[in-house]
Amino acid sequence: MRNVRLGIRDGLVFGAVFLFVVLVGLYGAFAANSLLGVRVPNMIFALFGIWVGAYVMRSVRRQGSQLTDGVVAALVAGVTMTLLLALFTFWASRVNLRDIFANMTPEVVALLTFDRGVPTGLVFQVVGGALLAVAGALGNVAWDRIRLPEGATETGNRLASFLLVLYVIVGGFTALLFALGQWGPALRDIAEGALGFALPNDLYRILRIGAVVLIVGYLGGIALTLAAPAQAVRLKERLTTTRRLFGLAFILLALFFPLSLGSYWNQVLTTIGIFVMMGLGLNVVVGFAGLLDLGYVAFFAIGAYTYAFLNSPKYGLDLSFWVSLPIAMAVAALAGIILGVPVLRMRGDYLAIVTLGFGEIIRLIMNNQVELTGGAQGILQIQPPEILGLVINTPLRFYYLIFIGAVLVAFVTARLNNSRIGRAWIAMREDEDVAQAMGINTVNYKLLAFATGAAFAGLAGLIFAARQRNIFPADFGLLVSIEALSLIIIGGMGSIPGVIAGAVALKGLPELLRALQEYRLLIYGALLVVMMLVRPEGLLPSRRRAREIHEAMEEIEIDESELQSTA
Amino acid sequence: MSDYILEARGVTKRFGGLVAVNRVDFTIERRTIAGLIGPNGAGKTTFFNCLTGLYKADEGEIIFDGKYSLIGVPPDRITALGISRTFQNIRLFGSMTALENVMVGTHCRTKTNMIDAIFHTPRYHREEAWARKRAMELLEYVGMANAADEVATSLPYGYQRRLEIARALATEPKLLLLDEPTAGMNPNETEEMTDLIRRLCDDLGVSILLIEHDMRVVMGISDKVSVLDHGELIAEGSPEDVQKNPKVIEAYLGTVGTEQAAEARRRGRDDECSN
Amino acid sequence: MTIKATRRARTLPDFTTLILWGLGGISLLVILYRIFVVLTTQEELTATIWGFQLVNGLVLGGVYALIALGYTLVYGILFMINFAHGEVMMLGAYAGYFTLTYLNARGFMETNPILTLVITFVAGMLVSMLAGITLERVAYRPLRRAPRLVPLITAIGASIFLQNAALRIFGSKLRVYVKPSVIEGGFRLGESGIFVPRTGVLIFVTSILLMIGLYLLVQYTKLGKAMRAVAEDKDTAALMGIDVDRVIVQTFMLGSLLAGAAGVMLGFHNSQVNAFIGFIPGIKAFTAAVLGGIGNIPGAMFGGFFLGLAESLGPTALGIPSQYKDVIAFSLLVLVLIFRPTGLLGEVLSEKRA
Repeated sequence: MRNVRLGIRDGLVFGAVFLFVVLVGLYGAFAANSLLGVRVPNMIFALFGIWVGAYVMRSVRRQGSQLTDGVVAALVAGVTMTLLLALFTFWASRVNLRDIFANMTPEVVALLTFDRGVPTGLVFQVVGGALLAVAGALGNVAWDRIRLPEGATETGNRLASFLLVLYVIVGGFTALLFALGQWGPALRDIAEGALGFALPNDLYRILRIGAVVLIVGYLGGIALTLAAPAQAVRLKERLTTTRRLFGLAFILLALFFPLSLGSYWNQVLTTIGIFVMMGLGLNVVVGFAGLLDLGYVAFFAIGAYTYAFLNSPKYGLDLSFWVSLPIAMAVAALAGIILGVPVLRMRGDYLAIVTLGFGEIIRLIMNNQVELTGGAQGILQIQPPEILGLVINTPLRFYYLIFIGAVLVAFVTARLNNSRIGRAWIAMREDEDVAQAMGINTVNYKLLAFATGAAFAGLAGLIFAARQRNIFPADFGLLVSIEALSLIIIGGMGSIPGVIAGAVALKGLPELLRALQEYRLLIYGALLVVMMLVRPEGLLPSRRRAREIHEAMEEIEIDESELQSTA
Repeated sequence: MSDYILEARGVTKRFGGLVAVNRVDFTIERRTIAGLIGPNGAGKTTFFNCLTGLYKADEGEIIFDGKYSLIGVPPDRITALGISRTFQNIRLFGSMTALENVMVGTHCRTKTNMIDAIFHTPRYHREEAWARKRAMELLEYVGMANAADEVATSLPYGYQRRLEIARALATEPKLLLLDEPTAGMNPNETEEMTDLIRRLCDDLGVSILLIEHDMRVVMGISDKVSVLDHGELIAEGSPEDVQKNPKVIEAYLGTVGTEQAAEARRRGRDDECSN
Repeated sequence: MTIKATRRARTLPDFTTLILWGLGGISLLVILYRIFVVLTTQEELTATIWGFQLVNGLVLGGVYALIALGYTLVYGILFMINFAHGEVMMLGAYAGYFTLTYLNARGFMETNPILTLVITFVAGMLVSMLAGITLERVAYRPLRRAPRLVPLITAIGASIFLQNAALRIFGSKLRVYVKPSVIEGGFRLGESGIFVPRTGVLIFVTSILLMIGLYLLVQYTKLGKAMRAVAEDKDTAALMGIDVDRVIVQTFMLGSLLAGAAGVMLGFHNSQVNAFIGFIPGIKAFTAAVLGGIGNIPGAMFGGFFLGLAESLGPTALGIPSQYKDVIAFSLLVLVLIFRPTGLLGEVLSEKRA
């Protein structure tokens, strides 16, 4: 009965997570929307049910048990999960929990009971959970059998089969409920309760949505085959030509797509671009040299404020763009060196905290030194730059300016990486003592990394100030540093496509998913944790970084300290 | 010009209350192989670390090539001066290929800077080509050219050891410190490694300081052997003299090693005769 | 025979050390100067004000010390900074709030104020403990062998996640700690007229008691010995038959218990709780742990009080507005890590270089 215990345990865990989703408000927020033909809250419930079943089945099969054991365990898990849910729903229906849990409104309680009130709704929950769990368990068995064409990566396969199975299960259930609903008013009532809306007469709409999901899944799987496989051992990589084509297509897209977008989306693109620049700069510090900088926003702020000082009524200056640019970058680079000197000898965690401290100190100074920096009121009326007679004052123009800037930064960092300097950085990152023993002056190279990264942040800051026209200390908080870091971490360490992917994901997607705006930070934090657990090297990492991380995690721990050897 | 490539006088290193290296006087003649042996914990690697600058000696003086005082000099400068080393636990750059590992070694002999790297100046091209060629040569020299593009951690153990040596050679050292180069090797590999070490000294003119536990190796190729025990130098001389030294035997508390070495040398002489 | 020995040119480390010491010296002079100016010119700074800040500093110090202990315990064992520790504390503060409000609504608080306080503390501590254990199990344990960067990012992510989860779940409504009449108000100390708030007494006494308890536990119990063994050498401890995983969980438990108590204390001290009260005190408490030498338990206690006093007395002594107290904390952090990373009392685990 070990499997039963497994089922109970997993059921409780999944139930707790589901409750979390409810309490946080994600469950009830989209009550008005539907996904794949099912009302969103009900869909969330369905997903959890299917998932717990599939998860348990997978665990059971891993232990070599029979299929039937797996189904039983899945059933137990589904029931446990929904029992927990039912208990909570019951409690919520009796007591007003709103004072404690801000999201437990009566509407949410109604949703939880499928609009059927307390006793019936709870039955719905438990029965539904059981059925879905079993379906999920069977789905787990099915998905192993689905494979993409030759050459697909493991991830690609998994994604494609996952989406297909999901579609089949949900689509199947929906169609089933549909069919049931035609069989008389009582069943129709049940079906509508489960789906969350009045049954339409248009089955095709749902099938169409499903087909789209399927196609996207397959395309996604294929796209993932072309991304760098995380475990590549050899230097030569398959599909380099395809990568180049993708790169070219992307550049063309980036060049011409914005012309078709309105100014709002162009503005979004400029934000993405600025973060791409920051990400590339931070990539030099963190990705190449391996120095975890949590205070990166300080250089961004310095670049922004320098430009602001040089181009606004505050100090009565109005220098040309071509003059302000090198000044701002130089000042930022200098700041990078000043920051770098004290932290030269620190190890990873301390380095992170100290840089965080520096970032905060800079912000606090900006905030409190009113005469110098305008304090919390910031600096206003910054003049837009004028390049070759053209005034850059529309989002589209800024976008192209940023595009050029980003390309230059990417170019420079790529060239640095593929040189003696890049090798020195990598060596330093892997094993600082040995790098020194091989003649690398780690002090100089650390400072170089800091200065370069800072200069690029300064560049990004400069453009930011020019675009905003007004800057305030509030724009330069810790969160920006963390966002820049997350960009690299999630997008992929040490690789340029990774940084771009990260910037698009973290800055572009929230715009697309407007509805989730409030949950942005929550998802952020969860994403960081999940990524570290599942794919710490990021979505599109450089081969090298992926290798490094995986080797470190798979090795048996050897006493690495050479200095404690017994010779 | 001094006879000695390295001269250490009174070198002392303490860790809190423990004296790891105690007033050690040590010399290495040019173009010779010097062996350093001693029981575990004797302070051999600590001494190495003092020589390469990883530790700063508390007392004493270290003169390199008759001209340079090494006390207080940072490790990268010492390497640039001409001392290089391998490590007891292999410490390669795991995510780099063998070729890249060796190319890192050429760092202190090249000068490409940021401007060169960004603009791909003639110096960049020249030095990249040179570094690459040199690295390949060194890999061939140690006998692993075919594995040049393999990731370092995927190489077999023997190759990894040789890679460390190739990398150290890339820094163009006058003095090479080898820390247990044959650890974990079977007799065949050991013989190949011993051969390589001798070639390094004879062909390339590199002076070598060798820490070893395998007595056959040490006694077989060293021109001079020094013995460290509890941080102190207790004996020094030719391999035969050191083996007969009662203090040395006492330190090791065993005659087994002595007998094996004597046996091996006898065998070695026979081989030479039959060649 | 004379051997001519030339030394290679001075490289940057020597140069930078020079700059650092120069800057440090200058900062010290500036600080001393300001203190001097303040002491001689400002007459309004009577003993009352100093005394008040002193009391405040001791109270805050106790809170910081408790949180710092959590950091130091975890760092000693896992060599990672648990960035999310502040959030663990925040959850304890919330739990304390709900318990307190519930007991107040039931009238229990009026009839049994002391018991109410005890229950509130226990609730806060238990919830924090749960949070800490979950955190370890879900986010940290799978990443034990990962390169340093990875658990650090995870911790940061967990911190952001917990803050925002609390915000979403509990809403942004103002949550105020109702004080039992026993600890309302305060009294004046004798002649100097220094005002001592009763909550301050509660916090100070409780924190001292907890610290003594922890110290006894670590020094004299089997668990304490096991913890010290694992902190010193994980692998050998495992070979000696110690269940390393369990010890790690227990360490997290202890640290989180203390953080929960600190959370409740902060609730009483600041009267209000929200989702973000964990962040800054978290960083400050880490500063305190580093000040005392990370991994060093008495050091964390010392560091906590040192920081609390510096933060409270600092602005008054330097004659700058109190908004700068955060800057003081951060600057201390930076200075200590630059000039004395092993802490003022010395790092216990000093094998690895700073």
